[in-house]
Amino acid sequence: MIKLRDIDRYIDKKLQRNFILKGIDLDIEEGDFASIMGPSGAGKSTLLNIIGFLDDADEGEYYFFDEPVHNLSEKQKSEYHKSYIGFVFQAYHLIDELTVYENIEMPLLYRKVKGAQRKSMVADILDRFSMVAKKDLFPNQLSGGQQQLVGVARALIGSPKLILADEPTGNLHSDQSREIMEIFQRLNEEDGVTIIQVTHSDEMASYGKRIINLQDGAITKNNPCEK
Amino acid sequence: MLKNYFKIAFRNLSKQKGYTFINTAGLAIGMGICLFLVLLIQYAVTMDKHHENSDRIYLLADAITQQNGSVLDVGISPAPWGNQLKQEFPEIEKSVRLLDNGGNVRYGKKILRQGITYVDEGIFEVFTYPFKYGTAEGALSRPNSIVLTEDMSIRYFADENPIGKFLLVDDEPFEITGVLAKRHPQNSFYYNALASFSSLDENDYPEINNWRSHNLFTYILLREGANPESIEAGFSDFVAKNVGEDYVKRYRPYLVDLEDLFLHSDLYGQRWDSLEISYIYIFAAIGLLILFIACINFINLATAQGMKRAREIGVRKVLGAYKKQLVFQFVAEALLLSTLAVIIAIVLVELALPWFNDIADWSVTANYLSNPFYLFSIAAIVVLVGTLAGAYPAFFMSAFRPVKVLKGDQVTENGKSWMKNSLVVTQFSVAIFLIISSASVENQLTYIKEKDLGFQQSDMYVSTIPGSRSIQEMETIRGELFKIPGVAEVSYSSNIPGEEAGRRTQFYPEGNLQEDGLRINNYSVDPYFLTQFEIELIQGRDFSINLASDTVSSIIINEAAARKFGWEQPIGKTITQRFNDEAPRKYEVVGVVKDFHFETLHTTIQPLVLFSDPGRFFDISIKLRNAEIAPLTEQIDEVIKAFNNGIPAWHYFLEEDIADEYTTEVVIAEMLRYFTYLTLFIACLGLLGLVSFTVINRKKEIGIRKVLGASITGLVQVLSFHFIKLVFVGFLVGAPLAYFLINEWLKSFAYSNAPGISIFVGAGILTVLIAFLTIGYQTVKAALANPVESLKNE
Repeated sequence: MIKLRDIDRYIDKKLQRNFILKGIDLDIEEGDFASIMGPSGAGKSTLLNIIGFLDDADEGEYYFFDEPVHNLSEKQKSEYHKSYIGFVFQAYHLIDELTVYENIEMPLLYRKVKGAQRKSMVADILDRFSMVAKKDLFPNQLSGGQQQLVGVARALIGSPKLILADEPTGNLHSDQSREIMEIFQRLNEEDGVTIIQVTHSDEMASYGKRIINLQDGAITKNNPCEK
Repeated sequence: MLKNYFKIAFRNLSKQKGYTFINTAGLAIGMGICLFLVLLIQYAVTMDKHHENSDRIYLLADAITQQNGSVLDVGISPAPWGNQLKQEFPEIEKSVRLLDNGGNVRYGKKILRQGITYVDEGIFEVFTYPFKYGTAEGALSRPNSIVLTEDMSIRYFADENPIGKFLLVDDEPFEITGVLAKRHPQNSFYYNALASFSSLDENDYPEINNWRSHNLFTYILLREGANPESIEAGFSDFVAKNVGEDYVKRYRPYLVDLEDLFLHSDLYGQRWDSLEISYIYIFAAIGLLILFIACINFINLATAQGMKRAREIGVRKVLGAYKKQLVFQFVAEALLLSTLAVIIAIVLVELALPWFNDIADWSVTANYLSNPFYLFSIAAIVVLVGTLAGAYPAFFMSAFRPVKVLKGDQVTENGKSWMKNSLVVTQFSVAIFLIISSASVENQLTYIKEKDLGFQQSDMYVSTIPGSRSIQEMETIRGELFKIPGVAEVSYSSNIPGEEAGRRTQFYPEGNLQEDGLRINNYSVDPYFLTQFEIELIQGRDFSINLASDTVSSIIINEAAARKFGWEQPIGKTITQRFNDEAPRKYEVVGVVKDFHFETLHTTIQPLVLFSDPGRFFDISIKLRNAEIAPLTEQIDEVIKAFNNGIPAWHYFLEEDIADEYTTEVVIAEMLRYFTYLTLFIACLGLLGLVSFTVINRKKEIGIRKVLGASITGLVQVLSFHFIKLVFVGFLVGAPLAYFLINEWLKSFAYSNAPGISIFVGAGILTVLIAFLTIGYQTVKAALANPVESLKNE
């Protein structure tokens, strides 16, 4: 599904080139659940962003379903985004001015889904996450865990093939974190959604199938998770 | 999707109340001023266009080369020209003459002094005048028929239909054949009644067959498709053939489009309202500038606001929004805001119109239903302001990179500070320009008000005594008036200084032998006049009540006349007056008065001669002691009424009447004043917005400075200095511009008071002070804030 070949990402300073990522080779198959780990500044988020088309690699090749992403136009990328990828952020990134319902609905609007169908899709997911009662609340009226649930729901509404989560539990306490991870696990196992998450926590990583260790912009370990 | 955009727009607007207020108020004021000016300009340019044939009607004007070589453009022409033109030029469909003639118009016991206009019967085919009673057809075909305006009809007959009744015009009977409907407000031409021209013969109007005496207005209606230039090309042949070969060089007649008369004419003899076109340009420019400022305010605030919304934009992009869709969203938001603003603007215009109509004596209205242009302007302003002002922030914001904004990086407008800076500079240049202009116009008005006109105008009550009266009767009226305590002096005259120019007739001063003589303004005054008006006699003597010969053979001239005639010793010199075919009258100069401003301050003091012919006395001036004026004037009115067949006479206070001469200037001063307030307000709003965003952006810097020991005043200085500097640059741009324009404006006055340095310095200080107050609150608040707060959330 994802094939990265010799990916470099760097920042040019006056005399030297600072590599954020260097020579990354990575394959992720459909149905995988990978956790990217590593110390701060190792390039975890950058890698995730490149995978999610939010950032471009400076060198190297990236194939998404055998499509060369490095050759895609902005518009095509946006199209891929919409149809294949869902994002979950550490800071939830809900839109404060919209209600829970409207936040979840938004990706559908950009996908030009018809009104009636939209309604039923949003109702489904609200039901699935047991949030029907909260649909008219604004994000700041919810707890962090609830907000992240909305974030996950929003990422899932378009039934993506891939979910990218950047420290999804970073701002949550352990109970809430576990709840989110269990949802991810279920999605992965029952629906076959591919998940890549960035995390600092071994516990959270243990929900996945594979752990990729990153240090100073290079992959140091890439092993299946020991259960 | 659209619903989602509007939802978020509404929630954003209502959440950010301060921001919404600044943006909407600024835009609404800018739009309001523009729409207001749209209506005024539309009113001015459509003046006289309500006549169906307005595009084919022309006034016959003439450029006359005078003896001294200068050219005088006159709007009047000799009586026989019009008809002859029509016969010689087939392109001319119709020509009509209009001749103003004063007269006493009497019906039964009601006698009023009314100007009557004699017109050819074709008038109603040329101009469109709807009738209230009667019809245009044949209304003026017979001699001694008269068509009244609605006002005059009401004055004499109240609501009665007067058709078939007879009015006595200077004791000659005229049959009323029609009454015009209410005067169209956009008629620049005034008249009380239209009488048939055929009523006049050589006795009434000696110049009726004179080919060289420019006296009346000739309007020409061209046939459809006729080209006025091709007719004008034949004018010199026309002059050669009909007036004489010698006159080809002196008279150069031309045609002036009726539609141009209001804005483009400055013709000698013109009797219609006019407005200098440059006022239109200046106010249009001011309006657009103010709107422009409001738009830039909007752009800057929206851009600054965009930084706060960076996260929303990032999220939307991640969720699959195209750039195009984001641009559309923000433009839609701008459109929403500009729609909100235009609604407020329309209300503001509605509030401003009655005020303006009152001071300017116009009747501008916003007829939404019958004024498609206004509706179009409203729509255009919403769309233009919405899209243009919305576009920059929209593109700026939609270009945010989601990775960056979602990480929480501060989004900045790199290298765009020139835009903010030039905004502040532009705003304050305009504000300073307006402050200086407005103050200078006020300054000139004060000068006009306080200028010693060379005669006494305060406490002077003027009334009219129509009809010829014997000297005895006039003395009786004087005696009656003196019985009222508080009446200090009484005098009769044909005219009142400052109020009207007086009539001009041909004079032949001794030693001045030109064929045509000189056209000189002249008054007829009684022997009390000069003393009462405190007009200084610098040589010779005043008229004397004891010398009967003074009424027929003595004359007093002003200094300007003495100069004009080239007399160093005027006393004892003679002046001959030729009045039509009457025997020439000879006058001996008995006195010279100091020049006084008998006309407005727009013109230099012209030569003036004063007779003492009681036959021309018409006005009665009563100088009041400083008593309670209201009961006094009532008593005076009673006395005059008693001598005027019980009809109340026209009356006014001279001081107010003179002030009325400067209506245009007062209107301009008032408009400038309010525009200045509003511009200052908008400029301050913009500044306030910018400062608050600057303060937010520099919160961390302020915190660090404070931790490192910066004092509060030091911080306020750091934050304010930049803006004050920009205001100063604005001054450097605005002040010279104002100086230049004001000097141009003052050229329309022969007597003016150039704005002093204090106005410029004052405007500068005032602006800096206002700017400082505006930014002061924000900066002081920022400087006082606890640095721990601003530093910890990094």
